[in-house]
Parts: sequence; C-alpha cells; structure tokens
Amino acid sequence: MKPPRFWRIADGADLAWRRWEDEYVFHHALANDTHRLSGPAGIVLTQLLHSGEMEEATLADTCGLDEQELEVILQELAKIDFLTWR
Amino acid sequence: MNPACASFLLALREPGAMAEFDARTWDCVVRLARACGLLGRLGAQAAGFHERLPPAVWRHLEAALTLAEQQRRAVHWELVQLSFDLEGIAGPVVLLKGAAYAAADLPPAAGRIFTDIDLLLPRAQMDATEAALMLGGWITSPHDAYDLRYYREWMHELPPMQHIRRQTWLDVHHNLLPESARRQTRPELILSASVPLPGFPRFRIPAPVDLVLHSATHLFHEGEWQHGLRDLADLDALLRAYGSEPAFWGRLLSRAAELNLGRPLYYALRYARRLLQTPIPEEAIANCPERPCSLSAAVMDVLFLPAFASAHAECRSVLSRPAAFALYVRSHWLRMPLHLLLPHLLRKAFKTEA
Amino acid sequence: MALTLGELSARDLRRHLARGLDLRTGPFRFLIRSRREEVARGLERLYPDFPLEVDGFRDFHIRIDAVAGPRRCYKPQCNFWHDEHAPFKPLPLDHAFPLLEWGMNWCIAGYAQHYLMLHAAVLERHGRAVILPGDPGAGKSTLTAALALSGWRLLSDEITLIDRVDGHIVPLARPISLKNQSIALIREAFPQAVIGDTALDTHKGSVAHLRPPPNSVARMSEKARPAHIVFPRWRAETTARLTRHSKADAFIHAATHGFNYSLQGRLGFELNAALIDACTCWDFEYSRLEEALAAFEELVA
Repeated sequence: MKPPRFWRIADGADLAWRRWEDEYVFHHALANDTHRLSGPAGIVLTQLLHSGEMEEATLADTCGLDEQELEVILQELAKIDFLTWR
Repeated sequence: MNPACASFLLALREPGAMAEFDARTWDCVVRLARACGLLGRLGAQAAGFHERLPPAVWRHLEAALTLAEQQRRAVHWELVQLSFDLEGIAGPVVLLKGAAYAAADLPPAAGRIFTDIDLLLPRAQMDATEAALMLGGWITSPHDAYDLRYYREWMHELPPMQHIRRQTWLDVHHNLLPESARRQTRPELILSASVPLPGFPRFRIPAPVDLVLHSATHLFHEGEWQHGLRDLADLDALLRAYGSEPAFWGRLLSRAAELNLGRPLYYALRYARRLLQTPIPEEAIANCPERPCSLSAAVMDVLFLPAFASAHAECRSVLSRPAAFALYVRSHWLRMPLHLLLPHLLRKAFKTEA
Repeated sequence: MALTLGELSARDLRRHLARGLDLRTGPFRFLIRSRREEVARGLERLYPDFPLEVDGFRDFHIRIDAVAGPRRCYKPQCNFWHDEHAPFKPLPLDHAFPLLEWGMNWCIAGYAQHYLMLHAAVLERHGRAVILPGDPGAGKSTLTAALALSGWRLLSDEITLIDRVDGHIVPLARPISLKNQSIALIREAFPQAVIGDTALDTHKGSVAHLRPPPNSVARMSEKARPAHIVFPRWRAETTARLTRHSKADAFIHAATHGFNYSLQGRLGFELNAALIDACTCWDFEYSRLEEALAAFEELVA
C-alpha cells in the first residue's frame, strides 16, 4: 500500500477564481497564469483553498470523486504549479 | 543644455518639480523619459502626488509603471523556476542589475524596466550551469560559429539563453568584464562577498559596494548609450540609499581599488553628481583610486555629457551622435585588444548591412 | 468649439500635416506629421469629424513619410515613425494611409497599458455595448461596418479599450478597416458609405477604410457598458443564428487574444472576470447581412 499523500495549494500561488455554469477559471498570481478548468478540478481547488492541506483519500470523499479520477486531476494541477504535495 | 533636457533631469532629481510642469514641457519630457527607459521611474516618483499631474500625462506614467510591476512579478516567478533548474549547481548564484534590484526590492527597482535576468557564477561552474539550464528548457539562441567563439573565448558570459516556454532571456556571466578586456577585475571577490537574498535561498546578490561598482562598470564599459541615463539613475538611487551611512564611502573606495574598478567609479561619481546632483562627499571623488588626469577627464566630459543626451532628438546636440559612437567604439576598445576588435567591428558592420 | 479636421481647407490640411496635425481620437491625441498626399487624402475623407487640438501634451508623435535612400528612385517606399523609432519595415508608397492606421493601432496597443485592451471590435446601441472578438476571416470587420452604417454607434474596430476603474468601454471611433471582398460587399449594401482609397497587395490583402459615422465621432468621449460578447462566423447558406457560448471559454479567448491581459496581472483577471460577468456570450453564424443586422437588433431590444 502506498503511503498517504497530503495535498495543498502551491506556496505563493495566491489563487483567484470564478465559476460560470460548471466551469472554472483560475488565476495563479505568482506565475501570472490563467487556466480554464473542468468542474471537478475546480471543486478540488476550491476545497483545498477552503480547508487547507488534505489527505488524498479524504479529498476524494469530500469532493465526491473516485480516487483514479482525483489522481489524474491532482497530477494535472501539480503540473501547472497550482498544487503541491508531501 | 536645452530646456526639455533640463526639465527631465530636474524631474529625476527633484520629483516634486513635476507638479509644476506645464503641458508643453510634459510633451517633451514624456518622450525623453520613454527613449531613456525612465518613464516608469518618473511614474514611481510621482505616484504619491499624481493628482497634481495632468491626467493625460499620468496615464503614460501609470502605463509604464504597470509594465514595470509586471516585470517585477515575472522575475519573482522566474527565480522560483530557476531555483529548481540550478538546484544541483555548487557555489553561489548571484543576481546582477535589474533582476537583483527587483528581487531584493532595492531603490532602483521602482518603475524600472529590464529585458533579461543576469546571473554571475564561478567560472568553474559554467559548463554545469549551461547543462542544467538546458535541461530546464533554456536554449541558446541560434548563433553562427563566429558568434559562439566570440562569446566563449573573449566574453565574460555564455551566449544569451531564452526559456522555450516562458520566453524570458537569461544572461549567465562568470565575470563583470570580458576575458579579453584591458581592465581585469576579480569576480571571485564579488561572489564571496555576496549576501543572501531573502525569500530565495538559491540566490544571492552583490554586497552594496559591489552593486554600485558593477553598475558603474556597466555604464562606462558597455556601448548602450540609449540607456546611459537609465544606468546613471540606477547609480543615483543606489548611492542615495547607501550613501547616508558615513562608513559606506570609505568602503566603496577601498573596494574599488581591490577590484581594480577605480576609473569607472570615478566617472560614475563625476557624472552622477554633475547630471543628477547625487549627494557625493567631495573626498570620495578626490580620493577615488585611479583618478584620471584633468586632461583625460576633460576629454571624457566632451564625450560623455553629450552621449547621455543621445537617446532622443529633443535633447540631442550636434555632438551627441558622434559622441555616442565614439563611446561605442571605446567600449569595444576596452573589451578587446585591437587585433580582435577591428575584425569584430568590421564583421558587425557587414552583418547589419546584410 | 474646437475646429474639426473637415473645416480645414485642402491646402491648410496639408500645411498642418507638414508641421504636425494635432488630432484627437477618443482619449488619445496624435500629432501626425506627413508630406504624403495619400495620408492627406485619407485623413480628408475619413477623419473630417475629428476635433483638432492646439498645443499642450500629445500622447503620440508620429510621422509617415517616404524613406530616403537609393530605392527612392526605382521603388519608392514609406515608413512609420513613432517619435524617432520606426517599428515596421518600409512599405510601398501607396500603402501610406493603411500604414498610418496600423501605426496608430501599434501606439495604442503598445503604450496604453492603463487600459485592458482586447483585440475586438465593439459597437453600442440603446446604451448596451456588443464586443466582437476578432478571429481573422470571421467577418468581424464586415459586420462591424454594416452595424455602424445601420445606426449603431461605433466604439472601435480593432482595439476594445476597457477602463481599469469602472470596467466600461472607452471609444476610439476610428475608421473601420475593410479587407478584400468585404470592400465591395459594403459598397454594394451601403451605397452611402464613404470608403477611402484601396491599398492593393498589403500583408492583409487589399485594404480600404470606412469613415466612422459622424455621430459616433461626436460621442467619442462617452463610455459604454458592456452587455454582450458575440463570436461571429460567416458561413455560406446559413440562417442567422445566435447560440450560447461558454463563459469560461469567452474568458480565455478574451485573455489570450487580448493585447495586454497578462501585463495587468491580477487586475487583468479581475477586469476580465467582471467583463464576462457583465456580458452574455454568444456564437453567431450568419451568411446574409440583413439577417445579421436583425439578430443584433434583437440582442439589444
């Protein structure tokens, strides 16, 4: 079994966001990057913004996503420097 | 000196005077400041009382400030990325000039615009650094074999690199002056005296005296006269910030001797005082190491003073362009011996024609 | 009351131009210098309603003139200078007027960072502004010209300026650039349209400019509230049709096609978000202009 991973918003990202219908647009202040994100990705980010660091399995439960789906989202968000884990 | 030029210099040294400028003066000053790369600096200096400027003028200063602000943000992010790329490099990585001012929030950073990030590393780390940067997505812009040899054999830096995705330009130096230059300094002393940069553990910045000396050297050894006044304004901001501490001046002079940079420091102090009325103690100029004789100082006055004004027609005298050209040739003269210089200039001349 | 360009005699206009014609367009003053007849003729035809100013602070000092040098004799060329800087490559002499228009756009796009600037046309009717983002070949300019000639107030053809304080749209009211077939199309549909000389074989093909409606110029100091963003697409043999466009996509489109979105940092995000919040976003397919005009009329009814 793999050790639990804890995810949080990347340091200094200072995210701002808007939601229109079921899509999100996020702005990463430090990178000055803007991304259009799907509903589930937006839910993950807003959850982490709200709650701070979360363990992967808890995050999946809270956001109502299955773990594979969440894994893909987390990797994508880490790639654009929105998230980091330990 | 013509009135537009005089008003511009007045705005630089006594920002409050801008509140009294009439629209016609502004019509020249904005263009001059833009040509010299100092519009953002005027903006930063006027920000506190901008309601006293004509709104149409303030919009231009505000626009230049917006650009400078964005560059400052971009440098911060770039340094975060570069920290990863340079993780494995041994020894100090020192930021120079614009990037150092912006990252450490030093006085010259206010409203300042710059085009690349300059790094100084020990010469022994150059190959490893270049390799690490290439892995991180930094690529050397295409140069012909001659250009590459020019950089690698005679210059004090790697050929400029650009990030493939973020488009940022990076200059990696191992010295302040070219290897081939007449004047040689000791970059290892600048590296070892560098100070940590708060918030960015991978980077350091030069000690205050070295920041001043590098800025002075850059100004009087580079051929970019378009930015002569901008560089002088950087020096002015640094000297005003550090110079109020009495011990600073003694340290600056002995450091200039140690680094063999007395002559450029002398000219920097002379022209900062002359054009921007930077408060510099008389003894500092009198005791400057390598003070030139009064004849060479007079010759340099004839060259430098008009060259500072060469950025824009509003300021330019009949002498400016020839003076700027003479200084361009001089900067190359200082960089390499004649047997290298002449072929190099000829080649440059043919390349621009082609 | 300030003098307008049209009130100058032909001779005075050329005299002014030789030493600097001080023209205002929306919030900007341009001091235009030129000895080119093409430039004088273009200004005469397309800018008669614009006010002239005297003295004081000008935003941009620009010049269009023939390029000196050996080519002068066999293939004369002209260039554009902002202050002393020539950002473009020289063009054939008969492109002097479009070069002036591009040069003016270049000045605004490059230096007016105190606005959020989108690459889009924008018009207003009944107090509601409609933004038309400009994908090349989408028929944006044709549609803009048709709307302007049908009672809509032209705010801008190429650059939509957004005030950073209130998010409203700041007009420029400059001429509309028509390309290739749309020149004949507009001439045919609107015989009253005033169109300048056609410059052939530019990098955009044939280009001619349409004079902005006098009423749009008269009201160029009046900002407008954004209400719709419409992504137009011309398609043969289709009925005009408006369908909803994703707001998140419109956001990204406006950001990536903007002139200075990323330069504004977080403020850019907030301004763009406020714009998308304020607007309904649409895709619009059309093939016949009359149908398009009716659909737009309905949008702001």
